[in-house]
Amino acid sequence: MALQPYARNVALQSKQHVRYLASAAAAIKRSNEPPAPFVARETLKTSKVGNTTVASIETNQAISRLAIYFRAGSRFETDQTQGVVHMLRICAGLGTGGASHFGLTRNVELAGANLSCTAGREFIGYTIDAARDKISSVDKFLQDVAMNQVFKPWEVSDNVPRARLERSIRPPEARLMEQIHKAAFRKGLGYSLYSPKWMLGNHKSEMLSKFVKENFLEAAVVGVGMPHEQAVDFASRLNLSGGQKASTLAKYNPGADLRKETNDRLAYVALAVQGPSLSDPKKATAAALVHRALGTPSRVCHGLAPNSKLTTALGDNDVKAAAVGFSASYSDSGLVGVYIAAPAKRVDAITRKSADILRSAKFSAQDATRAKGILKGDLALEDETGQGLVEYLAVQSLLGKPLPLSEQLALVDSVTAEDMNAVLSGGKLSMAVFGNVSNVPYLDELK
Amino acid sequence: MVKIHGHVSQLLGAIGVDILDKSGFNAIELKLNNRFIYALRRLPANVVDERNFRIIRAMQLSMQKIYLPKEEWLTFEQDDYYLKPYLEEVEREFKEREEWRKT
Repeated sequence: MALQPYARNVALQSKQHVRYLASAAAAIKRSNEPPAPFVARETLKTSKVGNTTVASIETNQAISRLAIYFRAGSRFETDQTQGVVHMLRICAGLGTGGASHFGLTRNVELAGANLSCTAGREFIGYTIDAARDKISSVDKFLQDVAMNQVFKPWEVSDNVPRARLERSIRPPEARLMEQIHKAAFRKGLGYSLYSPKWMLGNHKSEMLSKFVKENFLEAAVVGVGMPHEQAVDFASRLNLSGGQKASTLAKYNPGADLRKETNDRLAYVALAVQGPSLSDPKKATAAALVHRALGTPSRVCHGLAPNSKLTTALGDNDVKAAAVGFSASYSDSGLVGVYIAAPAKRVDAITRKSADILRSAKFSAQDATRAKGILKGDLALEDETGQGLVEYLAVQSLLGKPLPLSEQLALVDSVTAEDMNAVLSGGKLSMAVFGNVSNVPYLDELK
Repeated sequence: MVKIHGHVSQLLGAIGVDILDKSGFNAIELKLNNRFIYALRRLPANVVDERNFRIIRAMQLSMQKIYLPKEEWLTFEQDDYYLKPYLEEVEREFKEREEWRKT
């Protein structure tokens, strides 16, 4: 489970053409050799090269992934440049100093590689995945795209419709997530991952270049499926000037109640209290555990959500309403809370009960054990996926310290139920509502 | 004689030439794959405004059959190649596409 919400863009993807012709299938010679023996993953290696932290894991598998992540997410925007990170993500892969958009696309496709850009609140990252033997021929494109983009004005304006499309296909959950951050943090962390509507088309080329110049100063380079020396070599070719100024401290402002009324049968409510930051990994893990103990959705399609603290808020296990926990930990603050989706006539009761639980929940050892099982599963599953591993290593290298999976799981085990209780003790609520707001109680009514 | 540009004609061969003749483009010497139009699109807004003004003023003067007063004539220094960098870039991009089409 990612520690922070983010949005991903796949900039350039290779197209795989597969033809299932009977004759072709017959022509494939089946080799009688035994399959290559499984070689286990090697240990995590970290080092520092100039202004870049490098983390890499040699997975001994066929795919290599190389990523550059910068501490330049939406929290570093200003009031006048809101949404610039959204446009940066959209514009990943457009013309650079060394290659045109067309040339970049064709060259990356020729190598069978994928180039993507991921942007979060505190980071923006560019990743390239390719086969092991091709990665060294495409890493120059990664460097170009990450550091050397030119932002030609006509290319940027040609891609504004894509930003518009992304905004229009946001699911209600995503809009609620942006809203609860805005309610809790106002500016900085409160800025949305998506550009505001009034800013679309107003992100000029100079604004994008300026943001890059001012914020792409220190980076984390992550290499998965390559020797550490290769990642270090790549990092040493980047000329980052360093001197990243600290972001303005995130200030949690309780008591805000943001509502967006739409024509919807359902009401989506988010209630949150301030959570621990990533500066204390144990507390951040406790927050993630509180999230799981409060409630998680079903892992099975059309299944029932597992029993949790919020099940009592829902009453019987009713499939028409859902209440799950959520958590987000940033470098200097965080959020822990509850996400509710319910039809209008039930949302009042569910919201009141969930607010009570959020304010006064006490987790038993049994709750803790169950939550640990879920969190350990989430961490392990994310570690297994190539992109998930890259993102974990990169974000932790930027904001904290990357740990190998065994240490992550040990950290989860070391958290006690008392630590979990401390996360929720005496927090003041923030609220965001989306959809059918008619029956949702206001924050000052939730006493 | 009009040179046939563009992928349309190259794909369709002789038929493309026929369609092109019928569409009337070559009757007034316009090209389909016009690098000029691509480059014009990329001009910054202030250059576009100045260009439009000069065109409209020229049309007005032509209609009235008069000249500008001597002090408003364009000097040699002012007569700059404003479109040249953009044309060159468009040309390079077209060449790149041609290179990739061949391989």
